[in-house]
Amino acid sequence: MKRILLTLAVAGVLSSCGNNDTSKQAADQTETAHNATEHEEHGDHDGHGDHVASSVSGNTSVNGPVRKSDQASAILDGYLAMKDALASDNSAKAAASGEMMVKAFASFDRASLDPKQQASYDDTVDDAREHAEHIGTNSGKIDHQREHFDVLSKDMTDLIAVVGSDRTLYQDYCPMYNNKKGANWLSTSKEIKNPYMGSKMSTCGSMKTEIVPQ
Amino acid sequence: MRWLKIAAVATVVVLVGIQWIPTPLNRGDTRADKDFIALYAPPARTGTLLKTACYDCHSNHTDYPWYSRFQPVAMFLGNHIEEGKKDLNLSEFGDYSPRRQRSKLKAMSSQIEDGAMPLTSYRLIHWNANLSKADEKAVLGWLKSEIK
Ligand code: HEC
Repeated sequence: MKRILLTLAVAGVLSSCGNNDTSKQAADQTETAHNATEHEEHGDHDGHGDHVASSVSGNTSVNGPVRKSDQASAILDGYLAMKDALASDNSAKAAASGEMMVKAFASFDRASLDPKQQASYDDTVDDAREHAEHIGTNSGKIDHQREHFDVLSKDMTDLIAVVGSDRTLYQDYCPMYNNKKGANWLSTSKEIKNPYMGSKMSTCGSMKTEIVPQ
Repeated sequence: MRWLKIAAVATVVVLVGIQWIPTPLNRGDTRADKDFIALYAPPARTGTLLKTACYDCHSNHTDYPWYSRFQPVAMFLGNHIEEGKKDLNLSEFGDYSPRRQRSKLKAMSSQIEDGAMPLTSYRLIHWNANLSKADEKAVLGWLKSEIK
């Protein structure tokens, strides 16, 4: 009886999104224990920890709905192509999309934004461009590309809040990625095609927000 | 036998010859108000680990091990410094926007986690730069607490 229950429990774990993660969990637990013993060493870092987080976390300027605008359409094309490439484990294509994005940033009509928007735009794009570039030069290292895609996706969400979008977007969320820290991405279809886990867990994730430009 | 001798002499000539290839020293501006460790004040051990494992390629000041002044090691290291500083300059960290600082923190943590940094080729020539598992854990734990 015990054995059957155990088997069922294991099957349950395996059939959820997080298969092959049981060993990691154990590792995480030992890590927590380890950190606890190391606590005094971390000492006073709390006083310094907040200067970055406070100014960046969350969206820079979500005041009201996203504007309907096709200004960023080339950037979005590049990003979405990258997302599809990563979802189908195609590192070379992800790299090519990174280069597409870099070109799209270069030809973006920045002058059409007002000064306040320009400041947000610059802040976001300086970062986004670097991630796009880096994904572009790391063909063959898909895990590394995905690490940068995680941050790039956040930048893109902040970017369309400033420059608008020409299409409806869905913000999707994968709770499994990055040792269960989770990560977001943007997509144009309701169907989940996970760019972080690739084909081995393609449908893992859920839609969080629908972004309808108006 | 004769050929072996010629090859040996040629090797020596090349090795001596390339010593005249200049490689500029990486000794630029280091200002406390821009420096990563000064700005983020990590625990002492983590700071020291970052200094020995990362600063040689990712800052404006390299502590050259004596043998790294010889060619071809110097060229090899010089190249890494140039490339490394392009992606991450810890001496000028304060010049990055808050958003980019956060990105860099995350990239640093990922690179260490993936075992991609410090570069393997570098660990071979600079034994001090090797992070033990315990070192990695200390550095990663701190980096992650800063990223949140
Ligand atoms: C031998 C020199 C060398 C040392 C030492 C070194 N790096 Fe690097 N690093 C490089 C080079 C070269 C690149 C750029 C090329 C590449 O991406 O492989 C780079 C790139 C990076 C990047 C950017 C990659 C990305 O994903 O954005 C990060 C972050 C980084 N290093 C962190 C570190 C950290 C943290 C350490 C210390 C634990 C370290 N490096 C030690 C040479 C070095």
